[in-house]
Amino acid sequence: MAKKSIIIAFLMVLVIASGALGGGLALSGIGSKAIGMGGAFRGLADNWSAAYWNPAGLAQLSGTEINLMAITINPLPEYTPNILYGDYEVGYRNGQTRFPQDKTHFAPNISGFYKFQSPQDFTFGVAVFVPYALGSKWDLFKPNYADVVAEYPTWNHEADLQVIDIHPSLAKAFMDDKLMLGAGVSFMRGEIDFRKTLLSPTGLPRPHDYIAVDALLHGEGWGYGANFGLLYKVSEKLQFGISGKTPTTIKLEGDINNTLYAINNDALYFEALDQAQTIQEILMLDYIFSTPQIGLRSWTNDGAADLKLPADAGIGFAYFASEKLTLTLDLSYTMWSRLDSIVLDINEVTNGEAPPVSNPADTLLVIRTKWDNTLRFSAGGNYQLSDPLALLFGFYYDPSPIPDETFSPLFLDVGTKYSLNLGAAVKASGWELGYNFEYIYFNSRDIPNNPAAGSQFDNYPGSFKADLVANHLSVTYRF
Amino acid sequence: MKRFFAFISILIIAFWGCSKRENPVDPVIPQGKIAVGHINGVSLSGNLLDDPAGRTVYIYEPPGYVIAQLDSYEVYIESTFTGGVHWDTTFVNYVVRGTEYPSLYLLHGYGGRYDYYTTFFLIQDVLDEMIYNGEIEPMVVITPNCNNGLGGSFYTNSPDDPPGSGVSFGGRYEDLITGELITYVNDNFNVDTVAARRGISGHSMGGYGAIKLAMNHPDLFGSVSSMSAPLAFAGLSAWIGPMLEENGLNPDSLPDDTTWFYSIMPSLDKRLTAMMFAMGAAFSPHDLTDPDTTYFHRLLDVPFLYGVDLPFNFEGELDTMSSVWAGWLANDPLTMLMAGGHTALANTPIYLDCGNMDDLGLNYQNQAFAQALAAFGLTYQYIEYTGFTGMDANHITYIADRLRDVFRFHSQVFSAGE
Repeated sequence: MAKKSIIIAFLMVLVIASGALGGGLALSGIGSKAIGMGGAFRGLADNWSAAYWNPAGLAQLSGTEINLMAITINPLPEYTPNILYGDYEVGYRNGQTRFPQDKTHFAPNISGFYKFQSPQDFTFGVAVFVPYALGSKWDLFKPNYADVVAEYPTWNHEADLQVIDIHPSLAKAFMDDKLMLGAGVSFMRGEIDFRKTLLSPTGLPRPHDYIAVDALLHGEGWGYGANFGLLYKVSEKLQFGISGKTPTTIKLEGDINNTLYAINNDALYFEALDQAQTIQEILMLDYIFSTPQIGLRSWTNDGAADLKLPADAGIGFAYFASEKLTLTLDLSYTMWSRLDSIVLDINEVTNGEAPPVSNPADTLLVIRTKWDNTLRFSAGGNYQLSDPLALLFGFYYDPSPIPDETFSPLFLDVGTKYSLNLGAAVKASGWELGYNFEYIYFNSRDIPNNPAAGSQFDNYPGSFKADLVANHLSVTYRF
Repeated sequence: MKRFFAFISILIIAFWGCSKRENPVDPVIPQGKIAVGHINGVSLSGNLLDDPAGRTVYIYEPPGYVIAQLDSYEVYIESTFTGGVHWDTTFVNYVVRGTEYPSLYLLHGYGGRYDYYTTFFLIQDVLDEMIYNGEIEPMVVITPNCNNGLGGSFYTNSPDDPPGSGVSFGGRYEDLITGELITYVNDNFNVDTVAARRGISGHSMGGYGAIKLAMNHPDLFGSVSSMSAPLAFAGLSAWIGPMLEENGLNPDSLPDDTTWFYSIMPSLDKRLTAMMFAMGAAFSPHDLTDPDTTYFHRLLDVPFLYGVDLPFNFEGELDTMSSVWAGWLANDPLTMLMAGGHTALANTPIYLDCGNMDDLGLNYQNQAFAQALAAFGLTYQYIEYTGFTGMDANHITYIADRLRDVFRFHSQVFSAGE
């Protein structure tokens, strides 16, 4: 009974998991030791987190290993919007430094690996971890027509994404343990909530030139991929690892809830009605003008989209400088350019009152992303201070894949990241407790206002700054 | 002890970054008030268009505005006996004024009314916000109603019809503003009565009225501004073609007979035509006693010559040699400026603006007017603003934004005149 309760509690934690940092959508990595060494772990890969970094390293496990890990993440971005259409304000909170809804994000991981002894001599197990996550909510917009009836949502820009990877892996050693090979399969469950303000042109003079639509997309789905790796011991002092993973596409299905914030201005309505030339214009005016009793027009579309996650490949080295000191180095290349756009397939209206004209059903909405490939450099070390206690230290440099032309505050990867990682691990009779503190500094970014911007724009002009604090705590039991 | 400090240090590091940051809170902006006033409109009574004389006026009172204080009063009671017991009473109020606010007379455009700016451009919110932010000083803003049956009076004293009859064809709107309205505001609101602290402005027809009244009454207004106003009537030639098209005519191939000329009538769906007739009523009503109907356009199907003369001919061109056109030029701001208006405006700061894609081509008229102001060495600024992809700077799209500049301009002049 007690075991069942623990499992249920763990599953609940898994469900609410979310995080935010890293290159694009990715977290810094998996495993407190690996992150404590700055993610320079491909060439070492000597614990369960090898399933993520280099599955070949799982062959180094001496026995069965079970691990629980929790990550807390506190991103601290700030954004000063400067969003104008031409030179004109359209309702964004320009000139004010804005913060997202600050909260501690939580991402748990769990794994279990079993070492099959001779004659099979291979390691198999399953890890469940969160490789991709982001979450932020911002208050960036307030309609600039004061005769709107209903209160606009406070948190009107939001991105909440998490991908959980259920990852069985297999690894085997060859050539008297000099060469190790490993592979894993990813069963990725993705869930996304994405919210932003859409401004729909009305043809009316300012300040009623655009009407605000609060659009909230929710999608869920599965995707499949794999990773693979090689680890080779060049000498007693040196080994290197090469690993990579395939691209994965998560097929998201869900819905888009739209809420239009109608204008309550009878005099303007009747004047506009006088000017209306076509029945479509009249119908649209009837839709965008409302009474205080109604105020909102809401409708829901079914929708689907593909979330394209990148392939990556990397090489890492581990140098055993002494019995106590190990130094590691990693270079990895992530092909974020696969995420060039998100195509949203908007299907029929399932609920509510859709606009009478330009019903968006059966259309494709292309959200341009145009991300760039990135090269990450990581370096780290492990110093065995005493028999039970090891100290970890690391650093990584990782450029943002997001270009200025598509950057928005919803993705917190503001700029090139510089991490500082410090950690420790204590061992006692089969147990190992690990802790790592991570600080990431992001280069600030200024995105100039695009004078050609019209009713649609892909980026959010303004100034961005960010840094981030994360804690990683892990418990491992080996037997 | 060392372990304790180490533990505390780890905790501090671990929870660094967990503190919650707060976004700036939206300020609670004090709100001004729109008072609804009424003037009897003696200047309009008896007009031949049969427009009502009594007029509603909106008066924006800024936040903190203090109603004129009643200090003491006397009651005169006349015991006039008029066939029964009847007392006529007259209250005489002695007013103690608090802050005397500068005032801005903001004239509506063609087709508008007293609620033109409050309804379409939400100026009460704009004024509240700008006053709160310290961008402008608190001011009283007066938006009168000078609409008429043809859509607009052009803030003009329409000529008597017949001449010398004492009966204005369309009503005397210039007198309404510069006489009755200013007196009404001075008497009933806490406004500074010094000209330097009184400005006049408007959009389109309202901008025209502002410039014209400022030229005619430099003693009344210390600053003037206009947004997208017709200021050089020579540019009206560009309106005639579209006006003919509104009436189903091809300006490049007009019928040989002249029936088309007299068939042109104003209506709500023919905005340019209606506006030309409104200008005709303001500048060149047809003399009821004049049998010459060369330029005559009938307003009603009645057996006498009730209508206006319009300054275009059977070729569909502006007839600049006609007496009708001479009547229009007498009301043309550019002509007025050249004729002596520049002297009147010598000490009046002037602000003009217009969209670079104005539907009526008024940007060209404003350019011409601005050039003349420059030639006379007058103090002015002219801003020809642009829109953006998907929303051109046409005649009306950006007025809500331009009004901010207008308020700033007048506020600066008011402050200097304090």
